Amino acid sequence: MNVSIQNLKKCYGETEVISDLNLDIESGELVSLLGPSGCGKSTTLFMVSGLEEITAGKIMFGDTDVTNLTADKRDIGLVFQNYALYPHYTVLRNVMFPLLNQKVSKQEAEERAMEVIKAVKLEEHINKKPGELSGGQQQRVAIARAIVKKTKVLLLDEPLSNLDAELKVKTIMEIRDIQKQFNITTIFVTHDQQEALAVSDRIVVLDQGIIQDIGKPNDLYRKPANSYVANFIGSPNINLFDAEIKDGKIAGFESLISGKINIADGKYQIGIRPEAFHIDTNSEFTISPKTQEILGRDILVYSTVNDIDLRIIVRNINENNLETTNTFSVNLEDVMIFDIDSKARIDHE
Amino acid sequence: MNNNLIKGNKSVYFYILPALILIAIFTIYPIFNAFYMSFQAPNGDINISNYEYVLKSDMFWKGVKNTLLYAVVVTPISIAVSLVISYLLSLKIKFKNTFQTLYFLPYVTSTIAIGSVFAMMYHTNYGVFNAILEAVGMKPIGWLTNPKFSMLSVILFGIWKSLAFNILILFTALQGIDENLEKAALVDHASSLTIFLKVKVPQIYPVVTYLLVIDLIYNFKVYEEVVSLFKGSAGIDNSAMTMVYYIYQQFYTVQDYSLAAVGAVMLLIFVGLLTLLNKFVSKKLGGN
Amino acid sequence: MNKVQKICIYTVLVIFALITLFPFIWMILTSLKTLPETMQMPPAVFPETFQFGNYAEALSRAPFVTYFFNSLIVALLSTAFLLVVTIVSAFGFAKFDFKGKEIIFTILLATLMIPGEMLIMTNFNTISKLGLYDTRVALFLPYLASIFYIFLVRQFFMTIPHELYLSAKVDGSSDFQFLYKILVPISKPVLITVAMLNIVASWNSYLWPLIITNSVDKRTLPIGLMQFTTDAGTEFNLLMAASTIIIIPIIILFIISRKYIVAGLTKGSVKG
Repeated sequence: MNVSIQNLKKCYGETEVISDLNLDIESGELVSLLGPSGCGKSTTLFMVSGLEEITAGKIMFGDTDVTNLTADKRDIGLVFQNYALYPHYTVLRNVMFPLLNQKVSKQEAEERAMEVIKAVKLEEHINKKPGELSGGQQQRVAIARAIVKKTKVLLLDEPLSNLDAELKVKTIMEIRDIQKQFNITTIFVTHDQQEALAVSDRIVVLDQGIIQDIGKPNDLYRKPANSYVANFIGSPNINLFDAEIKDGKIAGFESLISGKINIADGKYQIGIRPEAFHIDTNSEFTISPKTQEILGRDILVYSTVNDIDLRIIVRNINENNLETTNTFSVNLEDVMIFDIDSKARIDHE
Repeated sequence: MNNNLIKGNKSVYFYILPALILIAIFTIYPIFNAFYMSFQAPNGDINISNYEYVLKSDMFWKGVKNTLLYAVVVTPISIAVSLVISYLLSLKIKFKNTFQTLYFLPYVTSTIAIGSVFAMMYHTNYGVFNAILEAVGMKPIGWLTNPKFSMLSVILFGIWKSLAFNILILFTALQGIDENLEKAALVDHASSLTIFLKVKVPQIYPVVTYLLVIDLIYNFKVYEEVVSLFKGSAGIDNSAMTMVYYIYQQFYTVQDYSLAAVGAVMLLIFVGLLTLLNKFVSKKLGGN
Repeated sequence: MNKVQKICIYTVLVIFALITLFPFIWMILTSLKTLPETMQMPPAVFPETFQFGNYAEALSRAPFVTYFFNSLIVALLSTAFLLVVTIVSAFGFAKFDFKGKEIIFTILLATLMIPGEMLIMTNFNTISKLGLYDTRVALFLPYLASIFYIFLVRQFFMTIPHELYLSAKVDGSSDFQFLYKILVPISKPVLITVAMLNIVASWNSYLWPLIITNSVDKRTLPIGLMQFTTDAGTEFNLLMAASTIIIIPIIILFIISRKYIVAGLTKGSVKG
């Protein structure tokens, strides 16, 4: 079931929180809505679910206009950050609940519930109450409940935020497996770019109710539409600074990049990811570390060059060697150039 | 989602309507009607003659005097005793739950029923209280038969009855105190009495003042304690007349609703003043 | 705490427990004495033989069986109706946004300050005009909508995550189904609290039943007892048997449901 959001708009009184949002999602695709809190991603999700009224626009599931259908008529499943399981029901009863409301016979409801419970590997726990399960298990029950009614569209609202780091990774993979197994079109709302990068077919970056960029994880990382997206995607954050470019060279950083940037002279916003720096004994670009963080075998170095604070990841190096090997270069294709006013990325290859 | 509330759903009126209708008929309307009745003279005119009558009535003032006496004596004594008991309860002791349950029994007990027990115990000739007095060599007292002792009897019964609630509230407040404060005080070698007075009492001070006002208001309505001790009367020579007894006497015995309404308005004024006092006190304490 | 302190603490607590319990103990002991034994001075602590016949005698002297049945039926009926009214209105106030909500709720809370004594005259008239004087319904109708209980239940409902409601919506529940399938079962503790507090209040209620009923077959235990104190005079053994019949059921109920009653009182902190 493909999902098409057309000219979607949402106002709370005078305040416009979503303005003219357009998004097409392919059948079976997993799309993340990524953005900081208050960017409108959850509001968008709830409008797709039918729980939040829309001010203007249209939502299509396949050929069906669902704009005016209530949530229970849309064949959607919704999973929340706090799981929202019914605490007085057993796992089995929780998963059966949507079916029983649809007047499915008890026997059929139980069979279908068992099917999805097996898919989330919780068949040993069917008679437990949610309170007796771990956070990860509870979230799997929530997913089972969300997909049990042959759901066409699965909506996930920050489903991993209450889980600790280790469980997050595990649960992400499980969500992905189930989503593929049942081939459910999925919208995944998160503020955590690492979750989005790990799980999505495509990512939609939202800010202040406006789509900043849409693309595959790798494309967003390599070719973000603007410096906002460049800054939002990637950890640690990209180095962003304003600088003059003259004759294809960045003023103050001439020795950092061999080769010339193919762009007209002028003032630009420059973006270089911390991980784009590499040790280059031939380079004359030296840094003197102010502080450093050990990231396993890599080191994150903080340094100031020409009054600009830089974050640089130095790979495979012992921290004691940093004093001697301290010359770096960046490949030409790893330098991002943004328009100084619109912040849009400019291709320079 | 804004506010986490269901919006624009008219069915909510279906949910709140039963309660609203009942409250409108049996609470809101009677409040206004009580005021109206209080100004309705026997001949139908609207004037203050009922107020004049009540405010000149010795019986009413006797009720006010006894009510004030009762509230002003019972409230502080009950809270003080409750404070000591609930403090001891909050220490590391065994049978905490048993003690708590026992102490709370008077609260759930019918005042009328246990009042008849007290009436028996107060009996001049066969009562156990006089037996105790005689055993320690004192003269028996006409607890319920001598008008001088009527209010004393009501007050002792009232204190016994009111301790349960106060102990519960104060005990809960004491349990809620941050244990780290006590530990810190112990590290500073404070004695347990010092800890109680300097650490615990200030912490539950808002609860104590809250109880003070709640109890005063509650004790202002003393009535069942009186009728249960004096078999439905207000004692010999109306010696245990209270404000609420006066209201019901006008209403039920005299059947003059207007005078009863005046009494009720006067009660509301007293209770209102206490409520204002509560607001004032809690504001001073920072709004908790 | 050293040993001496401990002994002191327990002594105080035990003495205080005895003071609290003494009227109850004395009541039960007296209810089992012969009439002469109740008038002995100094009093006999224990009866020579337990006179359980006093209970049968008390029951035969006044229609306590009828009173008991009335008290029971009124307590149960009023609680059932009160729960329904309380639950639906608490749901409305906790989960819905509607016009006038703030004002209505403020007015309701303000009426909590009004002494109930002010309402009785008018309510007596209203009940009479409704033709309900001297009926069992009249015993509880004016008290079915309790603002205190509504407030207590509303507070509890408000702690239930809104996502649960949204989930129920997606899962095909109506608002009302959400209320009785999800919200009510989850809120069992606070609802039991309300039920218990109301049963105790109904059982012990004296003045309103006295005013609004007239015939013996509508009256409740406390009124029957007051009547009996005049009739029985100083037959303390019978009087105490009657008092025991009123007090013991509610004490048993309290011991069973103590944690719910305590929770309601300490959260709501109300007297009455």
